[in-house]
Amino acid sequence: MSDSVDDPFALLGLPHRFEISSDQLQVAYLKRAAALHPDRFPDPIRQAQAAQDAARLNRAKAVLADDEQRANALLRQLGGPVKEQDKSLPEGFLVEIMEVRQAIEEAPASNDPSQREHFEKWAHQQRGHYKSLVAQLFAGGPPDSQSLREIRLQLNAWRYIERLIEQLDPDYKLQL
Amino acid sequence: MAYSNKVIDHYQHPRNVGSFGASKDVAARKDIGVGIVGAPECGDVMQLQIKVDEQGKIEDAKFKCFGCGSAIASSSLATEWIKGKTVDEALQIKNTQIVEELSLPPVKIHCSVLAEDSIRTAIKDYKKKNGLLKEEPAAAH
Repeated sequence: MSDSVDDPFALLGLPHRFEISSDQLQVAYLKRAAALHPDRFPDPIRQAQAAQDAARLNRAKAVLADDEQRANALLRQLGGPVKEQDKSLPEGFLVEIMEVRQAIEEAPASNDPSQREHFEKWAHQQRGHYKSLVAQLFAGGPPDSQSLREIRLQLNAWRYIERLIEQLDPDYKLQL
Repeated sequence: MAYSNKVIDHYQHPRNVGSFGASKDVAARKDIGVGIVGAPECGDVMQLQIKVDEQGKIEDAKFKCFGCGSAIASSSLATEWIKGKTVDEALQIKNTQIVEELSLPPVKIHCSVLAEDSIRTAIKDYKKKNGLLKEEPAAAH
């Protein structure tokens, strides 16, 4: 699976930085997607290759369009630790997230929309907090190994918030 | 991909769900060890509480898992396995045994790691409370 080691920034011809606007991403994507259009390749073998490249391009775009995934991809490109190696979290973070999870579970009438809104609001505030924190850390010049570890730690915490937001969705279905 | 019947059974009917009290309330209880762990791969969190008798045997265990079905099944199985064991016997349980028992696919191996981590963390908490923890280098993490 060579796809996992692809550099999504390079595939889209974008600079290695966290701040990428959706317009910027869309323009870069359309330019490259047009060049891979099947009509351009009468030869079936080259057409099949172009289809594969288009699929990789789509995956790269999806990664960069998502703030958390883009941050993880950027950290990898900068040589930072991956989450499987470095699971560190802010002090007391897991205890806090566990308390929030239990409060949601124990909330009276947990299907009450106003209860859900309260926790959704909290989770979205947390998402905003981690996004701006990570943006700040990436913006502070070429990161040294200490700041790469710091970004890893904040990104690890961010994952738990995204997972919470995913599971707060009333349409969320538990999967094996 | 087909999941084994054992996973489905544990996830539909998880054993030993719950707690012996909020973490804050059991913090002072020496017979209870608490392990709160998370999987950074997916953002799942799990809490395991063990109740240990005077002989060092785990007489009861309760868990709460906010995660996928495989994580729930792994922690449910872990509680079944550790009940009746001494804390040192429970420490011998390896995530690979959970993978084997539940026939977890490779993408779900981290769920079994979560369960093993929770056992270690809860036992460490219990031992720490009871002064049974050997000196460890400060930079273990």
